[in-house]
Amino acid sequence: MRIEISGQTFQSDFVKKVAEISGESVLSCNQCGKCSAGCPMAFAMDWLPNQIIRLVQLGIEEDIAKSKTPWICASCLTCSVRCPRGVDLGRLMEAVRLLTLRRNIDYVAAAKIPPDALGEMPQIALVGGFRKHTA
Amino acid sequence: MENHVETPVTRKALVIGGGVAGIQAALDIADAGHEVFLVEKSPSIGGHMIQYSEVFPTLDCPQCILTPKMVEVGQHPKIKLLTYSEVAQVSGQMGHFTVRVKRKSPYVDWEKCTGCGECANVCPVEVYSEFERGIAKQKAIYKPFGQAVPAVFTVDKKGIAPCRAACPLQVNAQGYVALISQGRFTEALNLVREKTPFPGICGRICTHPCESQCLRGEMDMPLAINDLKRFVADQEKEPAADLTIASEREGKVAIIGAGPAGLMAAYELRKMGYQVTIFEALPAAGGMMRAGIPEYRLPRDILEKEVSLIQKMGVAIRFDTTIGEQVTLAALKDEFNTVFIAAGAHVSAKLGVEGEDLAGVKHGIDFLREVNLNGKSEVGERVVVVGGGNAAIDAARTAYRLGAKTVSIVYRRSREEMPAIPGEVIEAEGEGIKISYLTDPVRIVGENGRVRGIECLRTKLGPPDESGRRRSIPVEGSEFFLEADMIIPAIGQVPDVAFLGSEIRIGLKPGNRLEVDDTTLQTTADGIFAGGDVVTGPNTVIDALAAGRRAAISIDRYLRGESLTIDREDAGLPVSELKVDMAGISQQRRTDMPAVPPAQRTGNFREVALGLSEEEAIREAGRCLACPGCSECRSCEKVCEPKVIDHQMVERYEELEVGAIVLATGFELIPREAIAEFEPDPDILEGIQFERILCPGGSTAGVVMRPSDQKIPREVVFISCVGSRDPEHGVPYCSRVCCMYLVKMAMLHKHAVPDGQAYIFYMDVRSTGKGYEEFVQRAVEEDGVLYLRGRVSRVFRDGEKLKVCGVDTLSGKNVDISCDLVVLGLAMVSDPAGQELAQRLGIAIDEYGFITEVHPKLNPLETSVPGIYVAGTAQGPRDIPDSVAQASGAASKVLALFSTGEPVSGGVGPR
Amino acid sequence: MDLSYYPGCTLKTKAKGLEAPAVAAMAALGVNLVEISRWNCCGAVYSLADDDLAHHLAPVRNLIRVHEQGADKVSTLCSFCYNTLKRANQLVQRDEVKRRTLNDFMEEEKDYQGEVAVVHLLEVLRDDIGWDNISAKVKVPLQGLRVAPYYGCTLLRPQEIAIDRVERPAILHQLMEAIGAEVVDFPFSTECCGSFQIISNPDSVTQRAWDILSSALKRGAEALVLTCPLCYFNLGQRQAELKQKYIDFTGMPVFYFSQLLALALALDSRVCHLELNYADPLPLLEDKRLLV
Ligand SMILES: Cc1cc2nc3c(=O)[nH]c(=O)nc-3n(C[C@H](O)[C@H](O)[C@H](O)COP(=O)(O)OP(=O)(O)OC[C@H]3O[C@@H](n4cnc5c(N)ncnc54)[C@H](O)[C@@H]3O)c2cc1C
Ligand code: SF4
Ligand code: SF4
Ligand code: SF4
Ligand code: SF4
Repeated sequence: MRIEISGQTFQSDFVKKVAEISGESVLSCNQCGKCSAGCPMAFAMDWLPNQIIRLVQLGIEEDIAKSKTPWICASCLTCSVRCPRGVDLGRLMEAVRLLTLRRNIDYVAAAKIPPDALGEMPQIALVGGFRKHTA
Repeated sequence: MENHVETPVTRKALVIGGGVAGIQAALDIADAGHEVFLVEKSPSIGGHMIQYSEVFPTLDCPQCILTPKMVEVGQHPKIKLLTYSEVAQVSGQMGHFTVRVKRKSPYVDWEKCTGCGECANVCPVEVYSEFERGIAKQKAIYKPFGQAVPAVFTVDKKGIAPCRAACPLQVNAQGYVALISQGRFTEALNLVREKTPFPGICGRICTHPCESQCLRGEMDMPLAINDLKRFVADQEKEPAADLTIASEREGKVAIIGAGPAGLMAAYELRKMGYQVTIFEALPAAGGMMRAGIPEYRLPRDILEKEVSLIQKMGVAIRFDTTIGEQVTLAALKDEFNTVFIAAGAHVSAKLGVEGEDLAGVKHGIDFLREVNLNGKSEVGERVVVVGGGNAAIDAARTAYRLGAKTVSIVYRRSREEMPAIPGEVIEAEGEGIKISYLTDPVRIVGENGRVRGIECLRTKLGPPDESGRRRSIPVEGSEFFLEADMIIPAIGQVPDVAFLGSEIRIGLKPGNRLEVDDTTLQTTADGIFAGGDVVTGPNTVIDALAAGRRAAISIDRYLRGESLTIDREDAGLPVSELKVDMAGISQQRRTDMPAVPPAQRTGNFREVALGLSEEEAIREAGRCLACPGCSECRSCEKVCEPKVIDHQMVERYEELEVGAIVLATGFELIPREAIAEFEPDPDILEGIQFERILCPGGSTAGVVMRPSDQKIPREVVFISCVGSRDPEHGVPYCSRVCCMYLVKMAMLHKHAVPDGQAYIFYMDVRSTGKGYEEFVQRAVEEDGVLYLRGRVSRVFRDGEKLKVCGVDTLSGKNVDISCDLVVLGLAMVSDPAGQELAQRLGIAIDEYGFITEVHPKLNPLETSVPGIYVAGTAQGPRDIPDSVAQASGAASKVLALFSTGEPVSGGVGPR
Repeated sequence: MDLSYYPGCTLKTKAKGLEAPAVAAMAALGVNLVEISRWNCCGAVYSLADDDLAHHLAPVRNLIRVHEQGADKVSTLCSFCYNTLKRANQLVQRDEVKRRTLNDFMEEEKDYQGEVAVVHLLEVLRDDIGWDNISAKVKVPLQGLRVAPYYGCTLLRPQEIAIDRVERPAILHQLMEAIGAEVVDFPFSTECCGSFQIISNPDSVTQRAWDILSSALKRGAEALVLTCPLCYFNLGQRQAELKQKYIDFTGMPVFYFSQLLALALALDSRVCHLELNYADPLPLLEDKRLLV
């Protein structure tokens, strides 16, 4: 695995948009990993939360686009309350998701969820889930 | 600059802070021939370094390298050591400072203390040791550690225990509890006896206001202080009270009533040497303790044993003598110099309802008096008691013992309003006594002149009345009938004041209570005093005893012709604001006394509560938190050979003249609680605590054991940057030393526990000193210390283990470790005392409280105030080599000033 | 005392067991919950994007309704609603520019400046009624019921809306103590249950449910008590699957705090809708003699 980086990669539009949508400063993160260490969903992720930030810092858009991590994130904000540097990673994850959703790409299709299950779930699950995972 | 200072500088220096930096600076200046004052806030110099096991990177032990320097400071002819002291004020300017130093009271004359330690051997109080960072205990009179300089003892006394301050008699509860915890029962009993001759009585029936103030009550339950008092009292067969009488004195005192107030006054006055005669209407002594309180609560042999002491002292008691009948009050006043009225309140209050004079109605106090004096009384089969005070409960339980088939109590308010002792109510219910709350009798119904039952109304609670209890309001139409063949109204007692007669006029208050001056207890008639229930209305034994003592003090003063009010001996103890750190203390149940089972209580008057066993008493006493530290039991005084302990010693101030000052006030660690994601746990330690555990001279004698269960911790996780480099916790800076001390401790752990494994979570290893990186490499390669790159999110307990949830960002994996012990590399922050001092002196500090230099490169070690220099961690986090280097630097600045003698020249102020 | 109250969609459908006993218990404690007369869905999740104001309209409109009806405080029961309303309110209070944009957009509404205070019912119990007063009204102390308080995320995070300390909160613990239950503290009491991932990644939620339930079991809990209908669903409904996966696991009742409060106040247990609970709580309650 080898990548080439330059000023352009980490000052790319993508990086700027993530910063803009999230309102967070990616550069504040010093990669201590505390966010990942406490993330309740990390077990199901392909990249750890701190690695997602690292990828944003380096401007490696392809890996982020392919990653499941932002879609596994449950917005529980455990990372945000424990980050020593005050980075709200939950917002960064949302920004990354929105960059996909805003291209009108859904992560989950309502049609694929069994109707029984849909009928049983509380409204907040449905509204919340579709808000987070559909365009 | 205004006017040039012409006078030469004072060539004496003040060093503040006795850590390694302060020690170095003091020695350098003193060795150059100048006088140095070294002020340290704790009892010994040594600072943090002396707490460590070994120091990086050379792994030499502070005991070997710092102790000689400390001793040198202690013996240096040019150094005056002022430990346990703080700088209160500094005035003047460079070359001429005047310094006011507060010398806290160690309660020991340090000039003469030999350091023998006999005092600590006998001190019964154990408190957490600051030097051991709360993981071990020390005595309340202590030397902080073996090699302390000066090698003297200090009393840790923060005030007066709340239990002791709450006791109307000021019995030293904390003191006797501490002695009991050590199994020293006789001494405990003697301490009780300093304040009351009736430990066995008090230990049974006192309403123990001490327990309601006990701070342990805030975390689980108050100590069973009263049961412990009873326990020690029961330990001796015959009272070995000291009955010596000072020396016989002129003055005859008459006391009316042999209840607690009268007996206590008699005891105190007789001890002073006065001639005391008690006049008692009943054939036996004890007052309400005999006529009212039943035997199953206060066995008569106990009462007899303690009351008879008063007679043994030479107090005459004239029984069966009712003042106002056989003798008048006026006659007493003529025959005796003073009179103390302690006649109690023995007249039953009337219900004031129809049928109260039917046969089968017996008022509570009359019923109890009859049973208590004659051992028997007629009792019905179905008994209804009316009332909610102790007399009502006592009457009901007495009726139960005399064989009543059913006993019930009706009370017009709710349980919360009930004035009876809650424990007594529970016992009564256990005996099958039914209590109907919110029930008010309207009339007693009779048939052929005998009671057939009682008609009652339901009530509800309204707003509070003047006594603060909620008023009871009848509910219309809720009448109902209770069948009964005996009714015992027990709704209160009032004093009988018929004996006062008409010759002497004594003011009265509502409820037939005698009017007295609150402080002196003198009535409106000169030379006649009164106290106890006759003044307060029905109240408690402990308050009556206190009134007895108060009256005795007044009477003594009266007889000696002194002021009754100025500087009284019973002014009361000051209430101290005590805060106890309960974080490390685990909950422990209060030990209850075993009791005779309810089924075995009928037909006899055996004592119900059976007392604590020796083992239980010691365990219960061990729950005491020793809130103020020293209990003032004064055990230490008795063994101190040179007699240098002085529990009254007060702080004092000293003034010093110096030309220059070095601030070396050091650092502290960020409070552990600030890092909430690591739950409080005895096995999550801060670095210095683990140093103490590693230290051969520490409380575990160098055996590495974890605090929770004394097991050897095999797997230990060290966490770097806890609270450091963490702006969210207010500390954005790097603490500079934790990387190194953590690896040092990891290495030492491996040396102590060869099959152990150490892990270090780190962000990056800061090993910038000479030989430091090599040290780290050694730890990794030779001792197998495993570095994991990342922070830890949480630590929590998981059975015997601690679960550490961290990350290794190098491998991109979250890492969980189940380990035995966790050591936190907590952020270094400025010492709060040092910070406060700097602020007071107007010295510039940074936003974290560390002292700033005028210019870090051009004016190193110079604070914003000319003539005041800084050294060591007071300026910012740094290790020992850097701290001592700075100290020598600061010393040379001082010496430069002293050698020129010219305050304006030299390196002062930015150039 | 009247207190205005925003129920939200879930309470009116799936979470009757949260709402009905809460309303009844509050009445028994002297508080009349007055449902605001018109309300809309709060949007369930607070938008975390800086450039997305549209999603804040829904919660803010609800707050405007409260304000219109003359109340200065609105209570919530559902943790998600609490979070969304409270955060939107803070946004309005703290960000002047966004406030102006939002107000401009809702031309038809009166300008809103964040005048209404948003509180969770637990805060009302703690701050307005007080634990001692609740204890005094308890008729059936939940003696011997070993219950583990579970907070979930949205009452505590982010920090600025937390109803208690973010780490090691105590409010539910205190309520349980006040009603006489034996409180079991456990390390997963503030860990996320997987939340809305139940839609897209249900297996991860099953895993989370097991982590949380097994941690409580290990500390000796017999039941869980919580506040959020989604936690309730994830931790309850997943148990069927967990029972198959872990043969030793026999299920663990999950209660809403309002159900236990109502039981302790000796209200008619039918108001609790215990029949809706996923793991049948009746055997446990009967065993402890807590049903009157
Ligand atoms: C766990 C741990 C392990 C460490 N291990 C090492 C090691 O192995 N090697 C190493 O080189 N460094 C080590 N260090 C760093 C070392 O402790 C410090 O560098 C050193 O103690 C600094 O000395 P000091 O004199 O500046 O401060 P301190 O040691 O803090 O001494 C300051 C003294 O001033 C007193 N004081 C404070 N305020 C006042 C006041 N207002 N009036 C009077 N007195 C006051 C204090 O009571 C204290 O006695 C370690 C640090 C920690 C936390
Ligand atoms: S906790 Fe904060 S600083 Fe640390 S890696 Fe995560 S986002 Fe970065
Ligand atoms: S908000 Fe997302 S990334 Fe952060 S801890 Fe929760 S699940 Fe993990
Ligand atoms: S017994 Fe006296 S001399 Fe000995 S150490 Fe104690 S105070 Fe000092
Ligand atoms: S010295 Fe090491 S452990 Fe300490 S704050 Fe700095 S980087 Fe962290």
